[in-house]
Amino acid sequence: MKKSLLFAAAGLAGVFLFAGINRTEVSPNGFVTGTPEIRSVSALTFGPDGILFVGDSKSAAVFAIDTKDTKRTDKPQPTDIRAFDQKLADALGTTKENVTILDMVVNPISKKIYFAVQTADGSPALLKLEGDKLQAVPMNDVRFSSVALNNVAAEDAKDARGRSLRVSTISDIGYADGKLLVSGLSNKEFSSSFRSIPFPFTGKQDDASLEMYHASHGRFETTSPIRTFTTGELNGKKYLIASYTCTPLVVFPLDELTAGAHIKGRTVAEMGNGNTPVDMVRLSGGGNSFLVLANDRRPVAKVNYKNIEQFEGTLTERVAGTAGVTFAVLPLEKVVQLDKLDDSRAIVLQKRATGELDLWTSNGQNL
Amino acid sequence: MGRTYRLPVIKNARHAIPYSLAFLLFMHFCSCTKQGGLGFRWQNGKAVAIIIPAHLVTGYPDADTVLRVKLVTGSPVEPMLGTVINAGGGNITFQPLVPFSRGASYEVFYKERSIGILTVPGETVVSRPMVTAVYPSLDTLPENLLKFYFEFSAPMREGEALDHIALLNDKNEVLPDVFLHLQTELWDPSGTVLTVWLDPGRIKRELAPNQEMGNPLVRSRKYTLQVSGDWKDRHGKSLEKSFYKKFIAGARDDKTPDLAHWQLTLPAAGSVAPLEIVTDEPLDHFLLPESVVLITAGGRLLPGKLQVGKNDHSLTFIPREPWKKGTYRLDVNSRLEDLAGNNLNRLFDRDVTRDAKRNERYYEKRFVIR
Repeated sequence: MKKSLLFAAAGLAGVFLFAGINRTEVSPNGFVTGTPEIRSVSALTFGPDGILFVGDSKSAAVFAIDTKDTKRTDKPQPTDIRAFDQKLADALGTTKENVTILDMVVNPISKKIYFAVQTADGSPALLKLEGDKLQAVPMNDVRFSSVALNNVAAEDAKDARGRSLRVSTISDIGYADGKLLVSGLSNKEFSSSFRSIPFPFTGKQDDASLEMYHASHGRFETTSPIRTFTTGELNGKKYLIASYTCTPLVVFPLDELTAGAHIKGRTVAEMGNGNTPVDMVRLSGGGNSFLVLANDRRPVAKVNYKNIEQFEGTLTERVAGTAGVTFAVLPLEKVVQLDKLDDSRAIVLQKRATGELDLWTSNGQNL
Repeated sequence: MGRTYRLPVIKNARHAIPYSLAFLLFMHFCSCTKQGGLGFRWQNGKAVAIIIPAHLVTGYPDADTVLRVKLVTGSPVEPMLGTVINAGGGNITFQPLVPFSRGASYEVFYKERSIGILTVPGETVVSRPMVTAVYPSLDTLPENLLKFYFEFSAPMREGEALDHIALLNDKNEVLPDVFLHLQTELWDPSGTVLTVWLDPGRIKRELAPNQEMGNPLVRSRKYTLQVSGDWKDRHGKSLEKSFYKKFIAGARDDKTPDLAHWQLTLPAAGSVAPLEIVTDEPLDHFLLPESVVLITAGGRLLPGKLQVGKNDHSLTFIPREPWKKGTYRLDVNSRLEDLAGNNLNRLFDRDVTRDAKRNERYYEKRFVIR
């Protein structure tokens, strides 16, 4: 290598090593232009105006990236790609055994599908589908901002003794009513960590860190972590609908998610053994709205929203198997990712009996 | 037919004479392999780009439309994603979206003509990863045990833990649905410590899974926890050997840890002798040292080192300064858990008709040094 080139490269390396983030411009809402230093891609969700939120567990942070992918598509064409895992592996120059898809979301404006992927050596990647072609989500010179989830406590007596739960894994993120919602898991404590963070990020630590309980059969109370959630209206009021790691489906009024609150959710259903959904979406069809729950180890389940609305109580009686609101179990197994395409259709990533991962679009009847 | 290049890593590149501090820094994190033809650029032990010398391409401007890289094995249909960068002097680099895979071969095409094949060398590290510890380390564990920690000597491949971890009964049969399946596994930041929960839905009383399948562990029964040797680390090396931990399920732990029953052995004033603390029960291996701090009478954090003792049942505090006469305080974060997930405030599954719940941030225990 030529000496001059080495110097140039060394200089460049220095920029990346010591600057971390290449910032060139800071806007009043906390956005900078540069290259976000994302170390892992655990969860994705879209916010307003093509903003893609990326939950980065390794950095214990959420990045908000302006994708500029804001060209509206009102009637998206269905996407059907067989052996999508092989296609993804080709695009990453590796074998499909080396690739794990961690999340999939549809941009609600452009209807393009985005994927959070990790390879066997731990490298993260963000990709999107343009038609049937995979593309990298651009990360150089983009507008972005970020929020840290673990506030580093100062090493004094007051902070050291009451240090709060530290998130090691972001289990899900969502966006509703100007707030980014983040559920986190700790690798040490079995407890619920849920944050409601105003967006745009203010830079101040005014996010609400919540302790969320649920009860089983009115007798045993727990603060089990939330695994996945969605938001929706029940009887005209906005709710968080959350699935816990220990199978209950619980609803919380969104307006109760205020800083420091200890909230007990209303358990509306128990999902049965091992049934902890990986994704939940709301779809409409035949004049009804349904909550569709995907599970990579159990068949897809579907609940009529009306049943959740009408189930006013909380589970008070012991019932064998699934209990509470009534579920319809669909003949769809091993759905590993699910997101809403439009009111009646969803994008589904499903592991087939052949072991291949197929990407397909529901038709309004089959989901 | 295209020319073929098979290029090993040039180890000598690491021994190049440093031209400057910047050069040194650069060489520490990045090295290049180049032998007159195609070569890899390396960063932190990963092949992050292919360097294509000027004589193999005719100009940069249209390179990104006419340069293609693909895996040699299989029959890739999707082009490999990456960025073509002008490296100066007519040379260009192809930087893939994620680093090239160890041991894989890649073919580079320029204007649909093959200009070479490169193979990423296999991992140069000789040692294979090992399971270095599993916590709790006891051989009798409460029947409502909540979690295991697995500690490895190197960062492991993520997303496949439950393909390699199994709980066997005394007939060596694998017990189904024992562990909580999480799409995003719980690794510590170094990627070497994994947390695996026993299915909490089966442990929590009266939840449907508990009713249907019962507690994952049953008192007095013998179990073997197994980590299979085919699990690979991030460099593709499999575990040196399978790991087995035999244990027996004991009585249910339905008590919260209680500081009132912690026994302290106090050092004398003026000494730098350690403070020995024996807890009332075995506690979480990683939470224990993080949850405890020592405070002086003046409210100052006492500097020193906390060591967890055998079976996570004791702690030793080694002060950095001599003890003074007077009152000290042990402050313990209420989030500290025992092996069944009971913390200082509440039981894991609290019976609201019977068990109390507190909402303290921390609990304290005072002691006097004389």
